[in-house]
Amino acid sequence: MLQYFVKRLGIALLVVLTVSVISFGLLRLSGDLAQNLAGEGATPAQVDEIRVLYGLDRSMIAQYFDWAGSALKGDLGRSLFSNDPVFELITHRLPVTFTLAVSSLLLAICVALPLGVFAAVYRNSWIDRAALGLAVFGSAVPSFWFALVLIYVFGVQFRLLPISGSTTWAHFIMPTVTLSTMVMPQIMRLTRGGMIDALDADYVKMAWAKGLNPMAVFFKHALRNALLPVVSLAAVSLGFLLGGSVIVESVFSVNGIGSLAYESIKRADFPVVQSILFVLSFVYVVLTLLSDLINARIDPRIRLH
Amino acid sequence: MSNAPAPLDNMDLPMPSPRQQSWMMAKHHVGLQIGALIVLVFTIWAVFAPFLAPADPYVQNLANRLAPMIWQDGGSWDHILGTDGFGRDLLSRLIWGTQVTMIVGFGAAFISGVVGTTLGMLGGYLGGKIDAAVIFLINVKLAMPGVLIALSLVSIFGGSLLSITIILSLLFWDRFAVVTRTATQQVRTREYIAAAECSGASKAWILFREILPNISNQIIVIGSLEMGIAILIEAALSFLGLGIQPPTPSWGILVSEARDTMFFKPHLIVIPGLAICILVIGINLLGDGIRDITEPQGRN
Amino acid sequence: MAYAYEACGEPILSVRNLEVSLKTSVGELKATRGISFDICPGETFAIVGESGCGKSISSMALMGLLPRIATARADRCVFDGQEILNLSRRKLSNIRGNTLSMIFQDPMTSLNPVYTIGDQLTEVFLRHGKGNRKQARERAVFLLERVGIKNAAERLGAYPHQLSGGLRQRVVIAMAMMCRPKLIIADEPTTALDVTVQMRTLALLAELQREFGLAIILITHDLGVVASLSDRVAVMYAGQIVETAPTRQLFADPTHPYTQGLIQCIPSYEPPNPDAELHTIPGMVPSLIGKQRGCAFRNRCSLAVDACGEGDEIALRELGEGHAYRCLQPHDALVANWRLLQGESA
Repeated sequence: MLQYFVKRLGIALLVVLTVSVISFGLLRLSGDLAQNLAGEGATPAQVDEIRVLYGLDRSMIAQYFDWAGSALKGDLGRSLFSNDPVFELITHRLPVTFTLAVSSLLLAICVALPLGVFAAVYRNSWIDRAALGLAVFGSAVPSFWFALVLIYVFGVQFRLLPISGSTTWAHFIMPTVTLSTMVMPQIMRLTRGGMIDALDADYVKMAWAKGLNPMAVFFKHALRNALLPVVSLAAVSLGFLLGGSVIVESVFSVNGIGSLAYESIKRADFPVVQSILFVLSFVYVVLTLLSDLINARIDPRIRLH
Repeated sequence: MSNAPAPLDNMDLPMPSPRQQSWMMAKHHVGLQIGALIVLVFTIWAVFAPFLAPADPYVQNLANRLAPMIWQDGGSWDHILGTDGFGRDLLSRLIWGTQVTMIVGFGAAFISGVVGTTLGMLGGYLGGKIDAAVIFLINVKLAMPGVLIALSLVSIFGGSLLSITIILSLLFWDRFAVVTRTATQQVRTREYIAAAECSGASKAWILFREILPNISNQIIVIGSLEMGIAILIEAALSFLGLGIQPPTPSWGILVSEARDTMFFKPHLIVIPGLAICILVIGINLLGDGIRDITEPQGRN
Repeated sequence: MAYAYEACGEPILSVRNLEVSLKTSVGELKATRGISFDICPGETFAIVGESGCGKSISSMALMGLLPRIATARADRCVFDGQEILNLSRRKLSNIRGNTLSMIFQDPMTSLNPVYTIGDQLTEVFLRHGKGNRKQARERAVFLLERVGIKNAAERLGAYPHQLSGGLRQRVVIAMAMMCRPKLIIADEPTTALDVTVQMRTLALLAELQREFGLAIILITHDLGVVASLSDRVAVMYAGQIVETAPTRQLFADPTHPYTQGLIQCIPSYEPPNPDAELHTIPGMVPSLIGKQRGCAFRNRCSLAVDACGEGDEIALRELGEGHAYRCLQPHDALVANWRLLQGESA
């Protein structure tokens, strides 16, 4: 068990390292950073000066270790645009996105889990069809468009909700709803599929044969087994939502990490982009490790490996 | 209410051939038929866009901006769905946009399918270090925030049809790899693979002639799923201005350009959005339907 | 009547004309027709037949565990003084696991992997209000020890995957015994086990039965299991009971051609004759979809005559002492046929 997690942790660290190398390399590919920094009208001499100043004249490998070394100390460099420390920019924006992603995930789970369970229990009934219809629609609707439709209906026609910004909780309603549609269908399908498999399993037949009441059969015996893959999916989804909130944040002008990334990409502010990619992949890896731990709690076969 | 099924032992019934069975099921599978119809219609739009579009999608006519749709007051047959903020014919832009959408969606699904399937089959069949490397690659891919990577790559390499297709295909190979790897592992242990190995068939022969046909169902299903997602992400990237570049009529751009006028001309947003939605639903229904009719036991 | 061996007073289970039908895409499938039997307290009644003959689905019908596409009808289906076939779900679940319990075929899958065996054992005891947690635990430990599991108190905290297949089936047996049932339906209880473990498990079942005065319905395809454990047998073919008899009687005087074929198919250990062929019954089980006419076995039967295909169904013929068979041929002809078959194989 412990050995298993040490191994997982090792692989996770290696993954984070690889991602940081890739995102570092990717952004150096994009052209001459010194030229960008110096601006359009700079003379070659000025560009060279900046190149030396920022250490861009050294080899890629040396530059990477420079960056990684200071990143370990919590120093992610400075924004080329505002000269603010990147670490502060990110820690300032991350809570907003985190709130948005977590509440979207919770909303998705609160809707998808019961829906998936009921769809499986009442298979081929109207509720099953409705759930599947919703899943088909949910996985096909473009989120930016859905956001605009929400804005039009609830922000403009009925004037119920504020349409942009992130100052009050009411501002979070439409972004949360929009973002949750990105993960809700998968969670619903997976819960339904897992429940159907569990309900067909012998141990559930056994539970019926023991005279247990339906609630005990469905929730004690079937759901716990069906939940295992859903936990993993939820963790992955949270990681996905943190990175995928860029679309929703830009439509609703939410000042999160997504819009920071978007703005930084548009103005070629590479230290910021690179650090965001790194931080998000780090969070993702932590989340998957966490989901493994939760699964080990639920499933003794993993725990007692 | 009791959901517990009893084991139904094999009853020996006269069985039609698998192909006949699939055909019989297809005739009763409404989802499959709707999906096939939607995909067919949009494919025709995409292929015959030059003949179907009533007007040039790029010609601006500032005198005739935001013309209403045919059934609204003042609508005319010249512009069935009206015109956009630059006076361009919406229907024509929609039809030409189908071409962009289908090329990017199909291209990205195809390339990522080839990459992912190759990796997954190699990992699943060869095992050992190669498999470990494939798993590691998949983990790295999963840990990268896809949409942000795509946005950065587009900002670096530009928003041409080709670069968008290639960039998107870099995002989607992982699911192909995961599924084909597992499927290959399962197929690998079957007797007919052992038989082929014993008869001296080469690894390449076994991979392509023995394993690939047996996992092609799953590849088609993932392909349809990824094509839908690719279409959605292309639209999102174009909407954000870091995808296909205007004035090329991508559906995402149509929505983005109509934002300024959305409060008094909502149809300019609703129609392209619905088009995306319907096409993706059609592709997903088609994929699910193919899975249902080709492997009945896989239904749930 | 041939439903019970002797008048045993009040039977614990009495079934008349049980009929299970399945709705399939190609039409209604009659999985069983006219199943009738009585089970006396404390006896073991074996139902034997090949897969698809309807033996499992009959037991599922008794437990109320049929899949949705299946419906069951019967003139009478009385367990412990109560008609159980059309009972409300709540009332039925008060019986299930309590006075009527079931042992499933595969111990590897019939225990829930995410709960300890202690939890799964005590759960059924608590559900039926047999006592408090402490008593449930004591009963579980007692039964685990009784079925031959050492360190029973410690094993309560074990998860199913930590036990071997044979041990798991013992746990399943103990679970079925938790509430002192009057009847246990054992559906192929040893099929999934290793041969050596099979015999020990059967011996255990027999012991428990004597000790606690249980009745057992033993569903199996294995005549060896029938011979070693059961008091009476019903042989099923294509959804019907084709012959029923006390076990000893069935092996001594197999009457229905199908029973004869089945018994002949048991490979004998001696004499080691290199020329001996393994016996098989030629042909295939007929489709059960749509209306059935005459004898279902006729197309595989060497004694079939034209009349076998006529009429709705062949009547059951009584031979006395609880022996009856479903065939048009007179007993003499069938006995002669059996002698012929025996001579062939000797």
